Amino acid sequence: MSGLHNRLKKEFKDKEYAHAYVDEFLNASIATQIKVLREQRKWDQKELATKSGMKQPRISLLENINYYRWSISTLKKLAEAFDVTLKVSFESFSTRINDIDNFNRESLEKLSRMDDLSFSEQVEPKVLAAANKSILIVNQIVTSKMSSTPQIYTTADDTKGRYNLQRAA
Amino acid sequence: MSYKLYDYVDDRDNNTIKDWILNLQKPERGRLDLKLALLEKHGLNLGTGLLTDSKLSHIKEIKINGRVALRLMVCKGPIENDKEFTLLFGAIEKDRKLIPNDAVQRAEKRRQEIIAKPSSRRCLHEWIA
Repeated sequence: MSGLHNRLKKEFKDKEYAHAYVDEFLNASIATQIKVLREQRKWDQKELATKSGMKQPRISLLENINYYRWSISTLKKLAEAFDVTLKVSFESFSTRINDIDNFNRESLEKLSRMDDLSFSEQVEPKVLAAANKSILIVNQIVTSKMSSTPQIYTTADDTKGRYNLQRAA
Repeated sequence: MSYKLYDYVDDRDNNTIKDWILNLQKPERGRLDLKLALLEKHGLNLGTGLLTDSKLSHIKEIKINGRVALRLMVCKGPIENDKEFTLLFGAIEKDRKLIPNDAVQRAEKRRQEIIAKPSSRRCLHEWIA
């Protein structure tokens, strides 16, 4: 356990201190995550503003850790703009201490829906017999969590024609 | 990367920052400690607004809003600007004015004292547990 972890376990014995500390962390973590998610997508504030139906000065305000007037409706708009989900739940202090101790850029970054959902499909080799007994064998393997992973095609055909197969983008 | 936090020490070896923090109400100290923990762990690399500008370029402020608006004067360094921050002077803000009204100037004076005598005019930040 880190020094911070041990220190918070002692300090959080005081209710007033504990609630104020985590409240400040809540504000800081939301504001910071908005900024991190925007930077992860390489957007500037104006672009996020457009995508979420707000104005750039408002985005600047929301990314400031001193901001505290959060509303779920605003967070929902941002979640939709980032194409992620929003989770609002109550939490125990011990879990929160772990969140505070592990607070970093990597823990705040979240994949957009399409990049996140794993579309994994394995197709059995299909053997297609044409009228003149030419055989087209297509092996298609799609294993991708990221859209940049190429699809692989293998073809064999004869004089019946050519099949143009492209790698996935 | 983590950063070092220092507290200003006066010419009688008193940690004046610790004394100021000890006099805060518990909720105020909780809010301040969170921001100091973020500063120590991440510097200015993660969130926006952890430190705000003051009238003097080398002096920054940590703002804590609550029943009383606290303003803790801080500087980067001043010995190793990329690796440390020093807590210099505690003040409050009322009606958009600092109390004492020369808090920023006092912080700058302390910053200069530390530059002149870094080994004796500051100590590693003392967390109050």
